[in-house]
Amino acid sequence: MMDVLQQARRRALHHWVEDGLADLYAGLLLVLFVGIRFLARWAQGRNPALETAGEIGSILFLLAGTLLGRPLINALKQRITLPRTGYVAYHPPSRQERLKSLLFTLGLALAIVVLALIPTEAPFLLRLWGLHLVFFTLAFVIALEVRNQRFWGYSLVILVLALGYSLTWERWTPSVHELMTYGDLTFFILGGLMVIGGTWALVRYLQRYPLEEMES
Amino acid sequence: MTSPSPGPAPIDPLIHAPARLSIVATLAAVKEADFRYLLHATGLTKGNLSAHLSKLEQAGYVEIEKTFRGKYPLTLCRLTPKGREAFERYRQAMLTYLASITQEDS
Repeated sequence: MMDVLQQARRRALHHWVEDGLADLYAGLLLVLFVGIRFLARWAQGRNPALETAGEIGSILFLLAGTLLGRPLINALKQRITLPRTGYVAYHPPSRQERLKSLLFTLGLALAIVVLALIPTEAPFLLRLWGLHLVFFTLAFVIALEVRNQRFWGYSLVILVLALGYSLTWERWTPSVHELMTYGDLTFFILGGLMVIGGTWALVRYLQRYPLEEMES
Repeated sequence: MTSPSPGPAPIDPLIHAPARLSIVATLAAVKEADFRYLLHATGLTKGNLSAHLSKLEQAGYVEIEKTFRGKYPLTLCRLTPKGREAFERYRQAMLTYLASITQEDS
């Protein structure tokens, strides 16, 4: 039997993802990030300066989007979630929890650096699986934390995509290989799925909790 | 003659009531929550929740703050240190009771 406190903690975490705003935002961020990278590639050969600007711009966009994510989602929650299912604030993380998060982030950063250092002549599947393993770990840890079906689905999609690419890679052209190894195709599909998943969750949430008169 | 072993700590009747236990357990797991969140989390009616929160506030277990977030009025509720201690004592006492029942059964 699950501890009553554990249940209450899970409920509070569920409250954060129940409205789908977090996946919707993250999905849009991923799709737009890939969009900027596509534009940068399209500019290749036409204008090298534009291509470099696009590559740098996509990274800056992702960084800014990540940093602004919490305040923006909170602002949306204030208008959408607060009048429907209320407000809850979590406990600040303990020292042990903070240390665990720090170690996980450092591990992930190290894995990305190692991946970036893999030479381009290295086997295609090595880069592809390495990259997808990093994505999968990140999505899986988030899913484990929030215990939400949608997030389990997102992490599963990454594995399925990596497996699908591995089985069919011989059929694709080098330009598609590049999209696979640099994760753009995965980012795009995952982002699109998150937008669909988030929108579906938001619609269901709005139907389930119609706006009542505020009197709390 | 051996003296009887001390029994488990007494159960706090203020927390033991199902509705109040649900409120206190919900608040123990978070930093703070508003009235509307508690309504959904506990499944109580507005009147019931309000009455139980008042009892917990009178006992010094819960702190209630009326505030605004943007244009929305918020009734923020949080456990006081006294409330947290009382809930931890209650949890330990219940665990001891349950453990003793399991031992007697086996």
